Amino acid sequence: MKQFTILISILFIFFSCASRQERTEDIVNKWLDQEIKFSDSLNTQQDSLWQLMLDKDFKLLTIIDTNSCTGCHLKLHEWNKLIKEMDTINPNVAFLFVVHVKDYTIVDVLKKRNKFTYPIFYDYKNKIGKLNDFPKAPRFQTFLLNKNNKVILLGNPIGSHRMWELYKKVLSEESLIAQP
Amino acid sequence: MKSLTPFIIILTTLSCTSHDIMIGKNILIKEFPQEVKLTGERVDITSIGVNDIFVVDTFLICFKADGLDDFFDIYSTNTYQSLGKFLSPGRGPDEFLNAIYMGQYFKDSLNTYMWVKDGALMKLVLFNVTESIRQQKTILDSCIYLSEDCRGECFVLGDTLISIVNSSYNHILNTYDLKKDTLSQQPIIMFSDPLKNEHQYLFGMTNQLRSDHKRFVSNMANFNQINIFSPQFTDIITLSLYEPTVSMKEISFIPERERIRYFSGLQITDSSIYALYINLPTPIFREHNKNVEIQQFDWEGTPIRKFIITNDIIYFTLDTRHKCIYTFKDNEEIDKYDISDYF
Repeated sequence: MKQFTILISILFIFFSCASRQERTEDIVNKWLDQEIKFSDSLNTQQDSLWQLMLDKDFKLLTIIDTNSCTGCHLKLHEWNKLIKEMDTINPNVAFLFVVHVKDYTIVDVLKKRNKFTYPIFYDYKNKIGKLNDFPKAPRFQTFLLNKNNKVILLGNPIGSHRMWELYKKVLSEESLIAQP
Repeated sequence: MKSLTPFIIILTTLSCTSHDIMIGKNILIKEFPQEVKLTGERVDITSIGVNDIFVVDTFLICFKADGLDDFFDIYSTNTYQSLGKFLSPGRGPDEFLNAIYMGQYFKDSLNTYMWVKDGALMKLVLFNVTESIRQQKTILDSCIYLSEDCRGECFVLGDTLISIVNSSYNHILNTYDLKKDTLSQQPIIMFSDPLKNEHQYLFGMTNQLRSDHKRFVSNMANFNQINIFSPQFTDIITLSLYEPTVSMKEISFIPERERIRYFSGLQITDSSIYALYINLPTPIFREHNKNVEIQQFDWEGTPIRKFIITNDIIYFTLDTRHKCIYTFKDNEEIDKYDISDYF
């Protein structure tokens, strides 16, 4: 029931255009409750941190897969604000940023410019993409996952206040359930 | 005959490892007829968080990929006075999650218009630059929502949208009918990764379309090659710079961070192609004390000259009206180089 409510909420909140709704519904139906597969190793420099993050109760996974403007998709300044806010709501959430881009040096530059200290994982070989065949549209490349890596919510909260409110609502409820 | 078998096997193996990036007429360019050393002057622009610059008619546009304080800061190329900030971030009808200038603009008797694409919201808009500056707010004269077939770099040709997409291990050229909202012909495979690495951004192509829509040009971040081709992909000329094009196989075996960055910018006029040739390892291409080249060719691929710039620039733009080049550094400094003697 809870998942059904979330599904309906996403459909109404995220897209108002009727012609695109069918496709949105298909994508949401396909991915909700789907298990995201992770490889044990992304790149040798980041593997221990990667494992640590995967062990968290909740993971907010964002895939940045682009061969064009990386800065346009990363939005680190916006993510910085959301991460700080989430710390006060549910500290047991790991923000997993997985990038597969044509120029990794720009990611380093953007991290520095935006004072972004959170880890960003470089998926040079597109391992995660190959394992999961994610939707192509960037608006469907953010997923909230539970402990078992199953999708609870999907949709990019950047620039969408209502979407972010939905993420916070779900995660604050889960946080209350987890408390003794 | 038996003794020849190992040789035949070796020859077959060797021929299989050599892969052309594009099939067509290949020209190896070893030198340029003219070499010009340029000296620049700093342009005093106050924008912060700029990722790239471009000149559209008489406007110098600073592009901020984050969209903080809007995506475009516009300055006059005559006075460098700020003319305003436009294209705000958001999901509203006149807002953007990202705003990529497609390198195409046109003018009528009143206004200058630019095609801008939002690859996140998948919309294509006609940004009315002149009217936006006049009213000091973003004015969009049309907005088309695009299908997922229109991912990648796009160009508008009347009612047709050409998009160049990394699809699986192929590089695909899609022709999309904007009126019917469907693909108007079978996608054309421009080239394939011989190792079949899915979604590996091996080529890092930058494309430009000539104003008569009869020729495209592309250069690639990790290959010493420029491609000139027709929209239907029938006529292809490839230019290999200084040495035969490095093979795809060779590049795929080099870790991403250790690859050579050959090209990082492409500009065109109706008569010339200008390509920023860096030729430095990726870890240092943004910050170094080496020279870089802006190479000029005609549309038949004939080298005209190269401009030498003693600066660690990463992008450039061409101002055809003032006959100058603006360059952009990683630390956001913008310099102007006069090329009026060579225009």
